[in-house]
Parts: sequence; structure tokens; C-alpha cells
Amino acid sequence: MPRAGPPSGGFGRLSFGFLAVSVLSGVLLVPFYSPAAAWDSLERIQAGLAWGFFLRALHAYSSFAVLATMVLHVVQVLAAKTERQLPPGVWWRSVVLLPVTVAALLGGFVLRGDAEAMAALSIWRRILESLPLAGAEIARLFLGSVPGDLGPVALHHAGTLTLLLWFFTAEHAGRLLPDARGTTLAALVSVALAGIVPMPLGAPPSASPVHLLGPWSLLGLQSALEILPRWIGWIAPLELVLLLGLVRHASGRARQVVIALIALWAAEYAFFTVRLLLSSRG
Amino acid sequence: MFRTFAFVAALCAALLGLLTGWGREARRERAVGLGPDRASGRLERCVSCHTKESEDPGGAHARAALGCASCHLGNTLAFSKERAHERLEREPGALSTVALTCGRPDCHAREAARVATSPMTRNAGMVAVDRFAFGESASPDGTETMADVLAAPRPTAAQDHLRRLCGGCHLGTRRANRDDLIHGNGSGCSSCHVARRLDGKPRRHPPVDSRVADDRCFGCHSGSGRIALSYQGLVEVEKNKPHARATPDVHQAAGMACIDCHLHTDLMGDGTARTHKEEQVEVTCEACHGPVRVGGEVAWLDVKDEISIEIRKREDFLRKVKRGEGRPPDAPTRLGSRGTPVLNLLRKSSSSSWILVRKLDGVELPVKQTPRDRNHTLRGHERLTCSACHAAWVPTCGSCHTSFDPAGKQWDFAAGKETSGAWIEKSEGFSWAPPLLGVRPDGHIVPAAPGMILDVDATAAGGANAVRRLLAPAEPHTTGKRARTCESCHRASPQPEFEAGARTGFRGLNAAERKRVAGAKLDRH
Amino acid sequence: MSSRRDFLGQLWVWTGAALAAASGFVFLRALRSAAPPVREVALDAASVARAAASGGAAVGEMWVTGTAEAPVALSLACTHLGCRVAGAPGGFACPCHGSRFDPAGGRAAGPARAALARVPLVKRGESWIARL
Repeated sequence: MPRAGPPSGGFGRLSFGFLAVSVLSGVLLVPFYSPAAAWDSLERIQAGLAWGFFLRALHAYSSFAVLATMVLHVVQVLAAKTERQLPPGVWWRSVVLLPVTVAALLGGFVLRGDAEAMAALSIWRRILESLPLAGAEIARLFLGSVPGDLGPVALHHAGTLTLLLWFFTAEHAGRLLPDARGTTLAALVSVALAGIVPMPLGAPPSASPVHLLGPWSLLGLQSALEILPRWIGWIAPLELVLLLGLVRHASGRARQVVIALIALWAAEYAFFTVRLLLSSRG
Repeated sequence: MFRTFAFVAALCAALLGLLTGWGREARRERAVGLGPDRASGRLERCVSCHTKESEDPGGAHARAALGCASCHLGNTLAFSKERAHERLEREPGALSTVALTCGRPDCHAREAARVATSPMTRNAGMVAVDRFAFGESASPDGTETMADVLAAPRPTAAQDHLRRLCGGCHLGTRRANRDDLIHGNGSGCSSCHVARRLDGKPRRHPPVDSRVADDRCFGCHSGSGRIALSYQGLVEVEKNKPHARATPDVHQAAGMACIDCHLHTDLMGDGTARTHKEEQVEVTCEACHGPVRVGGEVAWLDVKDEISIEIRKREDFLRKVKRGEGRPPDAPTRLGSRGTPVLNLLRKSSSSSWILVRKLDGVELPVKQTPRDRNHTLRGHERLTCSACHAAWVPTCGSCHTSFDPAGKQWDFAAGKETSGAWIEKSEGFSWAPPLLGVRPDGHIVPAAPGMILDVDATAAGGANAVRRLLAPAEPHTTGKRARTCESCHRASPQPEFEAGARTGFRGLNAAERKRVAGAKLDRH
Repeated sequence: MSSRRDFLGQLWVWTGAALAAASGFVFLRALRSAAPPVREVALDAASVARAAASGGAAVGEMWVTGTAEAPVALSLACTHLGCRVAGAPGGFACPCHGSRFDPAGGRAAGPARAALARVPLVKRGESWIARL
């Protein structure tokens, strides 16, 4: 099948560009970050380092943008029905990119080491522990065995997850590195956001705020956990991954059903997100 | 998406971002502070905010050398005031944290350890004599310290008495809880080594040094024996009321401060805990004025005292000697009774006369050596110490009554607040007179004073009701150039008898001695 | 000939798979044995006494009430997903998912199903030791 231009309006290229900016800025933060004194090192990055706040914001916003452009890319692919341009194996690995990206973002959130981060870490562990058969082991695989230890999270965030992201993205894009235009545009947008929108330091881990908010991409899940059992924490993402994977194998009527289910999922997630934002505002 | 328009728009946005970021970076720099964020090469953000000249103690403890946290602790790496001031020590030198502040291993660890044995920390003699006077113990000796007294769960009458009247001078009592007389002095090391803000300038960091001026001693040492008052020639005419003028001590008249005579071991201890003050004091009159007998005289290089050896090293001894600035290795050096040298006592190389250098202002004073004349070789006076004759007077009081009022309210230094119950001291007939004489266990005759003549009515505090007449050895600090007259001993009415000595083995003159004193013929000289 | 080559090829694959399974098993065993040890946390007796005297206060990750001689400690970890609950009017509230507990730690509302855990305290010297 001949390729007919970019099937996604360029969001895919942009996403790869943002990934490159995110990895680069992340590497630049490594010498100033310590998982053993996370909040203190963040305070130092934020206030004590020349342009440290900018570097941190650059890393955060470029990483957010990876997910945002990735979601837009998926929407456009589904709308243009171009999923069959990829072989099934590559398609499935590309779908897995979505949860891997979210996990990397959650890792970054937890690595802040502030009050919200430590709460998120504890929730993450409890949700993984609720997985059937080997829940405790899977939780230890990702988060280590000492509660509150950010070391394993840091290593997975900068190592395992970043490698997976880059491999799957490269395979998906058919090239090892992002293209110059995508990267430059991503860098310009990231610089603009990092300079204009401040990324404040969170409350110290010892603080007990009345309300805590998780990472923006997981607010819907946080809201759902208020009324649904904790296994919703892994059922919901799994559901989305399976549905997206199945799109590649369905056609005609079946495809319409799968797309409708995905839309339903997205609507529910949006509902829960809005619900949380409204309730915590009030 | 990758058209030129998008590129230009993104470029403009990025430039705006960089500009905004630049502004934020400038604000960040201002917020963190203008000064350097390191002191002596170490990262210490305290000095980023604490930049004012008035916040610098200067001298050896200058901010540029030590920063703030070496003494004040806190969190040197924090950016916000709240976090930077976590675990701050507002009163460095306080005994509870001294091991982290002045006494940290690379600074004055040895001195801090010694201070733990100093009588000013322990007050063991004060405690022992008080409990003895209250009839709570059989001897005026003991090892109970003021810290023990302040921590006693159920204080006895004497302990309560000490807690209310004496705990405020104890070196371990924090500034906020100190006696009014020494208000403003810190505790621990800073009791003596931090100058009080006498210049009236608000919030100026006081200097921290070893030039301890008399005002830091006088607050505490004006009680009980009143030596701080007597040294200046002041006498109480009514309890805690204005003072009459008597003759000041000849050393005070010469402008000498307490530290010009008293050795570091007298004041800060030497690592051995002793009960009574006179056991601690090492300096003797003879160390300066001769004849050399108690501590001895050695060459400067043979001095064994650790602190002096260190001073010798630090002053780069030989180099300075070559330039004629220091004392030569063979310079004669006079010692206190346990071998600590009187550092400010020197013999001029040009002549054989001794001089004393005033520590606070460097003024040199000639030190007269005791002549071997008739007055100092009088037969029958061999057992007398210098001050038995040269102490001109001691403050006296006619009556002294101490009682406990359970309905009253008084500050309790153990609780750090006013609690119910109060000790009331009533004394009358303040005056001054030549001191009495007493006999030390080693047979020496020394000045003495009624060391606790009191009616204690501690019944209301669960204690005894007793009349005590104890005789205590006293160094009145009223030295005169002229000795007291012969008549002041030999033609005076006989010395009263005392129930006991305020020290084990210390006594007044016995009947035979009194008879010999009264019967002495004065016309022989 | 070709069947032998097929067989050898299969052998490589199956051996690899067996190795992968074995290492997976070993890794699982390692993870299973990595259970966190019981933690002992020392609470300063003075802070415990202060907390008890004030009718309840947070000491570290615990809420201490009772008396100085017999303090009672509640874990502040929410029984839902482990966030640290904060003192709120009428008990405790979880900042993450809105669970509520009464002053004695009993469950009052929200997704949590169990009461806040009571942590046994043992006096050792000048400290109270909590086993978490």
C-alpha cells in the first residue's frame, strides 16, 4: 500500500520531536537530581540553580506534549482509518506506547517527591498490588520493595521506560531519530511553554494538604477511584489498550463497534476528570 | 503543520518564553539573595540573605570565615526562611547543643568537654553546702550538680531553694530563663564569651571572643560572697539596694579585670570535677608576686598545659621569637598550683622585673615581688596566707533569715516560669569589717566569713527549722596594698565561735589559738 | 535434510524459550522474597506525652492520643490507597479520594473499607517503638 503523506496531520512527527526534547532535557536534569533527597534537590533545581526552573519546566512540558500529541495522533489515525498501514505486531507495540508514556509521566510526577508525589506513589503501589496472581511482585518490579523509595522509580523512568518509548516510537516511525522540522517545532513550543507558564514547586512531603491532585492525565482515574473499586486502576487502561489493539483486526461493522466503545471510554474518562475538577474546586 | 507560518509563530512564542524566563531568572537571583552563597568555600545559603554588616560578629568568628551555621546550626541548603531556620540554635554555646556548636570536633571540643566539669556548670559546692545548711546532708561535700537539682522530680526544701534562688546563674540555664542580673547573657559558652549589647544599638551581632570583660562575671558573682561588689569597693547597705563605697581591691584600682588573674582552668575547668570553688581556683597570689613556692616557675618551653602548648604552636613560636615578638623558649614562666601558666605574666628581658599585661587593653603593669622584709617573716605568722593579712574587709550582715512562703509566687528556674511558693530572705545590718580568720585542713590560716549564718524556716516547704552558724573560707577580693593592722587581730574582741565549718575540716580559731592571738605583745615591732 | 534443519532451528527456539521461562521464574522468586521488612519507628517520649496531653496530635506518620503512660497510636495511612490522612473536623479526611474517618479512626465515608490501623507501641528507654 503506497503511503499517502502523513496520515496524522503531523502530530506523530511532533510527538517524536517532543520525545527527543524531553529526553535531552531529562538528561540535563540528571546531575542535579537525587532520588534520596527528591524534594530538596527539586527545591535546589527550582530556586538555587541558574535557569534550573526553566530546565525543569522544559522537561515537564515537552513530556506532557508527547502524550498530548500522541492522543491527537491516535484520534486522527482512527478518523482517517489508516491503522492498516502498520503490520499487526508494530500496531500492537505502538498501542502499548500509550500506557508506557503514561507510566513514564507518572514516574516523573512521583519523582517530584512532594506531598502529591508521595501520595501518588502509594496509590500506584496499591493499584499494582491489586493485580491478580502476582500483584505484590509486579508492584515490587516497578516500585521496589521499600515504601517511599524513589530509586527504582527513577531508574525505570530514565532507563526502562525511556528505552521502550524510544524503541517503539522508532519502530513505529520507521526511523531511529525524529526529523529536523518536528524536533525544531517541538523545541520551540517547549521553550515557549517553559518560559511563559511557571512550573511551581509542590508542597514539601511532610505537609498534609486537604486536597491532593494526581498528574493531569490521570485525574479521571483518581476520580473513578473515589467511587469504584481499586482494580479500576488497571482494568480501565487495559480496556483501552485492548480496544485500540483490536481496531487493527476489525473491519466494517465490527470496527464501528470497537470505535464506539473507545469513544464511550473516552467520554467516561472525560466525565470523571471534569467531576474531580469541579469537586475539588468547590 | 510544518509550514513557514507555524515556524514563525512558534519562534515568536519561544522568544517570548525566553524573555519571560530571563525575567524570572533575574527575580530568582534577587530572591535567593545578593551575597555570596558560600562561606569559607562551603555552600551556605545563610549568607545570601544575612548580608548586613551588623550581622557579623567579626574577629575570629567572622561570618566570612565561619558562616552562620557553624554556630547557629539550621539548614544551610534551604531556600525558604522557614526551612533554613529548621533546628536553628539562637543561643550557640548553650550546653544542650554545645557539642554541635562551639564544641564541634574541629573547633573547641576540648574546652566544651572541660566546661562540663567547671564549677560554673556543676555548682556542686553550692548545692552541697545548701543541703548541709538545710540539714539535708551530713557533710558540706557532695557530687550532686545544679542540673540534678533542676531535674529532681520531687525537690526537697533545699533543692527548691536552689531552684528558685540559684538556678538562674547555672551555666546550663537558657537565656530566656536566666536571672535578671545577667539578663542578656546567653548560656553555656556565650555566658562569658559573647559580649552583651551595651552600646544600645539594636540587633547588632555581639562579638564572640576570649576577651571576657568584667560585666559578664559580675552578674553572677555579686551574690552570696559579693566578690564582684567588693572588688569594686561597693557594699550593699540594704538588701539589693544602693551601695556604699568602701576601698576597692588594689588590682581593680590598677584596672585589672577578673581574667587578668584567673586562669582558664579556674574558670572553664580542667576536666576534673571538683566540688568547691577554692578547690578549682589554681592561681595564687604567689604566682605573680612570689615568693615562688606553690606552682613553681619553669621555662616557657617546659610548660605542660595543653592549651598553652597550642597557643605556643599557633603563634608560630620560634618565628615570632626571631622577630622579637614572642617570648623566648627559656623565658621564665610562673605557674598556678596545678601547672597552668599565668600567660600574661612576663619577665622583661631587659631587666629582671615582672610585668603583667592587661588582657583587655594590653596595658603593661609592673608586678611587685614580695620583699623578704620583717613584715613578711614575722615569727608565728608562717601559717598565714597572703590574703589573711591583705584582704582588707568583707561585707557583713547582722542577721539573716530565710523562710518559705507557700502562698507567695516566685520564679522557678527549673520550670522556667513563676510557680506558687516563694523563698523570702530577710537580712539587716549590712556593713563591712576586716575578715575573720579560719583554719584550713592543711593548717593554713585564711580569711573567713560567716558562710551561712541563717535562720532557715523551711517547715512550710517540708524542710527543717534550724539556726545555722557556719564558717566558710573566703577570698574577699578586697586586697589592699597595706596589710590589715596588727590591732585588727590582736586587739579586737575575740572571734565568735561557730557551729561548724562550711567545708569538711575547716574551722575557726580554737581556744588555744584565740588565746595566743589575744595575748600577743605588739610592742616588739 | 530440511527436516533436520527445521529440528535444529526448533531446538534453538525451544532452548531459548526454556531459558527465558527459567529466568522469569528466578526473577519472580527474587521479587517474591523482596517483601519489605517490618519497620520499627522510634517516637520520642516527650513528643508522645505532648501529643497525648493536647488530646491528640500527629507524631511522624502516626496520630497519638491516650495518656503519656499509655499512648494510643493510629496509622495515618489511609486504608484505601495509602495516602496520608489529615486531621479534619470530626476526625480524619483523606486528601486523595475523600475517605473519612471518625476521631477514633473508624471508617465514616468514602471508598475506604477499613478503619485506620492501630499501631502497637512498646516503651524502650526514652522512646516509644512502633512496629509498622
